[in-house]
Amino acid sequence: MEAIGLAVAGYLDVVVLSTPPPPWEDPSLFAQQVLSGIASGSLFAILALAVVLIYRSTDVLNFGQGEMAMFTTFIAWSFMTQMPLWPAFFLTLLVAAAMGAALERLVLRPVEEAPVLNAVIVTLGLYTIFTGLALRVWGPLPKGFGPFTLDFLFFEIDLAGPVCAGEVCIGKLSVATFVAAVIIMALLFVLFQRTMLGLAMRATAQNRTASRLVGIPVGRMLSVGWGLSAAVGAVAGVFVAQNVGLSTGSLAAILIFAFAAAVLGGLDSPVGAIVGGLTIGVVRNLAGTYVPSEVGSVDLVVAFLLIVLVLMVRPTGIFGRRALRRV
Amino acid sequence: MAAALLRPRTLGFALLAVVLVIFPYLHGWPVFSAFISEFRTFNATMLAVWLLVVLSMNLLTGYSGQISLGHAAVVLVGAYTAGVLVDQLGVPLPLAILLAGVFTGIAGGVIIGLPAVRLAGPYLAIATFSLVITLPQILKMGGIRNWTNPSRGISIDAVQPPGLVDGFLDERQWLYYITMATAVFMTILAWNLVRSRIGRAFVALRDSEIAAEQMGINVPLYKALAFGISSFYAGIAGGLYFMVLAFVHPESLGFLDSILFLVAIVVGGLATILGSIFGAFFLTFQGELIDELATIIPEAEKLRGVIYGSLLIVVMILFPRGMAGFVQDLVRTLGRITAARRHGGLSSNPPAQDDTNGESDAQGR
Repeated sequence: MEAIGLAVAGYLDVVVLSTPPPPWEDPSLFAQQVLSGIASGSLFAILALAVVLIYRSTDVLNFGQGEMAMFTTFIAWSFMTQMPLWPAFFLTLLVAAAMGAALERLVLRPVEEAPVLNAVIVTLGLYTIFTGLALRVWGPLPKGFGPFTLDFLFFEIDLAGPVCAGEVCIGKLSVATFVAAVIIMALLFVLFQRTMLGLAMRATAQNRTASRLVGIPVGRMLSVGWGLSAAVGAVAGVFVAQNVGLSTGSLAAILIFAFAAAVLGGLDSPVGAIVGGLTIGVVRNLAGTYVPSEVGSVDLVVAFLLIVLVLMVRPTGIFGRRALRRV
Repeated sequence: MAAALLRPRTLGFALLAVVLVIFPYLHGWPVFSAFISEFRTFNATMLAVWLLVVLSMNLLTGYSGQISLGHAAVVLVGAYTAGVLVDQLGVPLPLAILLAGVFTGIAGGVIIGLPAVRLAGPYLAIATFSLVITLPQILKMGGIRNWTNPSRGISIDAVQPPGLVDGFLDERQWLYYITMATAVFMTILAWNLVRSRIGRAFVALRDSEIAAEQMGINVPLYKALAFGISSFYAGIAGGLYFMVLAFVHPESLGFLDSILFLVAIVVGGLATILGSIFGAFFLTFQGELIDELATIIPEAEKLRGVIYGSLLIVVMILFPRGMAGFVQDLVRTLGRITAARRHGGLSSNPPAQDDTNGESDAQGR
């Protein structure tokens, strides 16, 4: 029973035991914390994928990513009060994609030619707008959101409850989150590396003028990038909300970890986002367990130190490619 | 000589100086008391603090083109440095504020500035973002906790006017004078700085690092210097913030304040001193403005975030040079009209350029 409690509680609030024994004396605690770290890391990874996607396809860093994801999750919640899970989920993805594309068209297109700073400022505007709107529409109280029972045609999977191997447990929801992260990464990899659309998007991000010259509809590529990213963000939101509940602050709280994950892996690498997310998740959980409780909570400090350290050693992340300087 | 003294610019500054000096007494005067309450003195004091914050941010982001989303954290470091110095070590407050500026300046230049030399825009934005999110937790960590007292924060007694002027000034007025004097002095300093070799190097750095390098500007040095000077201003502002409010807490300033600072420099006008002054007005009165709006639109209070965000986006898209740009254009147009009239529309002299040296267009690439 205790192990179950640990697995369920261990997603975002790192469980701090009073005097944790060193890993070699209690290997199952260590394994449990690593596993819980992977669980929360998967959440960071999905949001990081959305960040990477926008950066890769439009060269813009979206500080509104977390809030957009939160907003679309609220939309999903509203749909779910009206219809079954799957239609609601896919409808949400559609709405999110449309919203992302519309935002690109309306507010980012006008600052496209301006310095990077202007686009970053616009996304910060999106950040406060979506927080404010969600607060206005759905109120400050948290909403109940899952864990859901997934109804596949021939079988059902209930995401509530843990899967255990010996003493070590992990929530089914976490497994599903991890699987979702890997699926999204694989899809993005195929998109960027194996399709004409992905190639055109990469070209657009790298050099707009040259892309226009070879006939790529640059504007449409940017809209597609934002739309896809908003949809990935919506998936992230749906999983985060099942783990920590749905409220206006639930994604803002993990945005810093998603950024840390994206930076660690390199802002333009989907694989890096996953590796970065899992690393941040595990390191954060281990620090939460083994740093003496007198020091206080250190989860943010760990993320911050990782970001600073990575940027000092490898300014474009572990998997990121060195940016060419344009004159 | 007398003609020079009568130039509109000189007269304008003289008038401004007079207003700044008599302002804390205005609320007691017959006509002015109708629309200036005693509380406005406190507003004006905070305006001075925000002016330094906006200047600090503008030096870094507006002039040097370095994105900082963590400026609230830098100001908070200044406020806390002053607080700890006074509270733990018994350093006199004015010295503590100066030391807060120096400490924050050095810390900002070395800890943020040196790593930032290697970072491209988006990565710098993430690093500063994570700084402002993390700082409260750092201030609450064991060891540091004993100094910062996160549970109750650090508070001091309100500053009393010294014996010499006691009786002429109440404590609120005294606070106003010392804060405003500091702000005015540092504004003049910044005004000169951005027109100096250093300021021009900052602008060159912003517009193109490679071009700046070609012209012989030591890019890493000037980048670190931009962070250092900006952090010095932020540190002083933080120290004054602590003095004026007589209180500081790990959550006194956070990410949303950072965004507000950004709104302030964008709305005021990037890379202009005038714009910083507008920005300071915005920071001082934004709360009140939204309260006023709430009497007209009942939802305004809840839509605060939406209003700030829309303001940011609309200004960024439609008026990228902010209010200062608008005013400069207005002055230029008026000047052109009067010049044309004076010379019967056949002016051979170009209209007098208003002095915008160094205040180059923030859009310029």
